[in-house]
Amino acid sequence: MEKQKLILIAEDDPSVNRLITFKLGKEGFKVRSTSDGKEALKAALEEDIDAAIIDVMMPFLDGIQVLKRIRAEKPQLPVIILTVKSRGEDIHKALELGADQYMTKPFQTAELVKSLKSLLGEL
Amino acid sequence: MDKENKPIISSDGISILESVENLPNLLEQVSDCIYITDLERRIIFWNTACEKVTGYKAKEVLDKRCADDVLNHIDMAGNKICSTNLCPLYRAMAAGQSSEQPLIVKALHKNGSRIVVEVSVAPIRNKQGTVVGGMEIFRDISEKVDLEEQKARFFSALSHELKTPLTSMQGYLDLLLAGDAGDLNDIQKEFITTIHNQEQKLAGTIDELLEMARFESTDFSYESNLFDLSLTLENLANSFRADAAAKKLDYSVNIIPGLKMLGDRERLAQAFGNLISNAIKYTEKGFVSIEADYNRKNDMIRVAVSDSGIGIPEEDHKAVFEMFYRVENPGTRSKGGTGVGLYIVDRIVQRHNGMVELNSSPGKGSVFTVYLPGQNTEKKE
Repeated sequence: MEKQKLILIAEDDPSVNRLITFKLGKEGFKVRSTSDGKEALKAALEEDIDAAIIDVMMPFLDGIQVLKRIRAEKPQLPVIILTVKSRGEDIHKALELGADQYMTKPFQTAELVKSLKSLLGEL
Repeated sequence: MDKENKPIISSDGISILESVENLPNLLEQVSDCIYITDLERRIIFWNTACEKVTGYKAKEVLDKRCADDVLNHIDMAGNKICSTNLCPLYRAMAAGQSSEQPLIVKALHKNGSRIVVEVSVAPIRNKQGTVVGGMEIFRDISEKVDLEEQKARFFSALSHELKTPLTSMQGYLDLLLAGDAGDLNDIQKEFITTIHNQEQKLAGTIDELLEMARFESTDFSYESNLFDLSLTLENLANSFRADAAAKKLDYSVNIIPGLKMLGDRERLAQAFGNLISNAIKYTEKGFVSIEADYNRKNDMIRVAVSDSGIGIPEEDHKAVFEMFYRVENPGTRSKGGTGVGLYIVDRIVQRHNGMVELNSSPGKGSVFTVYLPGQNTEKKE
């Protein structure tokens, strides 16, 4: 059997965090759950993760900054930005900084899983 | 009646105007900043309001060009406008036409800071009708812009507060319905489906209310920057890819690269976002396509958003662009929502001197085509 993929979740809202953690667990992923930008960045850079799902508005460091720093060190890591921000400018900025996918909340859990799997080459 | 020949002063008015000692005196007294230049944009008149707002006394600027570090307009993104062919005064004098919409730019204050001003311009003609100079009227709207930014921050926070709980609700209902938390019996499934549907309606309404609030709070000011519309559309189209995939729609994007235009990128993204999200929302099977190209002959950019969705009957084609069309006509479309989306699209496109065309009939899908003036940097033949 293939090694379980480790997914980083950066989400400060506990119920959304638990939701994603639960769903990814069901789908056979291992989850590294974090609830602020600083903690997320540390985990992203120091741990052997396979992909990251990152919220934008988070304490200490926002998701866009986290994305920027991840891109500087791990240009290939699949990153999904998952946020309530739906302005064209926000989307533009995130994609320009190298997000692989931009999803707005509320989102469909099945779609998130699909995007993640497709970025990991599992679809 | 021909616009050029329209009398603008009644016969009574002429006698009143004749009794005005001189026009410059009158222009001196108004609270808007007014200055007049010759064809080389050398300043020949500078009123007191200009002095107050810019810090420059008339004697310091007369005979200088407004480009000589006097106003030196830049757009909101910081790009140079002054001394380029984007200078509003230059355009007005070259075209012999006044500006259609006031422009928001940043002018230089004597102390080096930048002031946000709303500018309108008009060419000045001599008795023979030849353009001999230009007049620019501007007013300081820095405070208004500050207020606008505060409002935008408020709506962004409000949006976050409203959508975070909805995200949880939708997500957990998704899990329950997918059986991720164990099997549901038929009644449980029915009830949870009902909650899910209602939650979706609520989410749609909140989206539109926030959209309307955001639109209204900033409607007075449009930025005018040169930007790459192709890039904006590509990014926007990509951000909807997952939504289209969720409904198994054939989603095609054909955008000619390098379409440059002058306008408010964020606003246009909002308009095209509305068109694309509508196309996906009202199409259950088939396709949604986004195309953009450029007509060199008339320097127009064409963006078409097509779908194979439910379509709109001919008699409603005008009404769909009216505000709250759907609220006042419940049941016109099965999906929830207040119907502000297309009103906003129309309004934004018009503010860019463009137009929206609709081709649609029930069951045959819809095509929304937007035409916008291009800003081709290449020389035209």
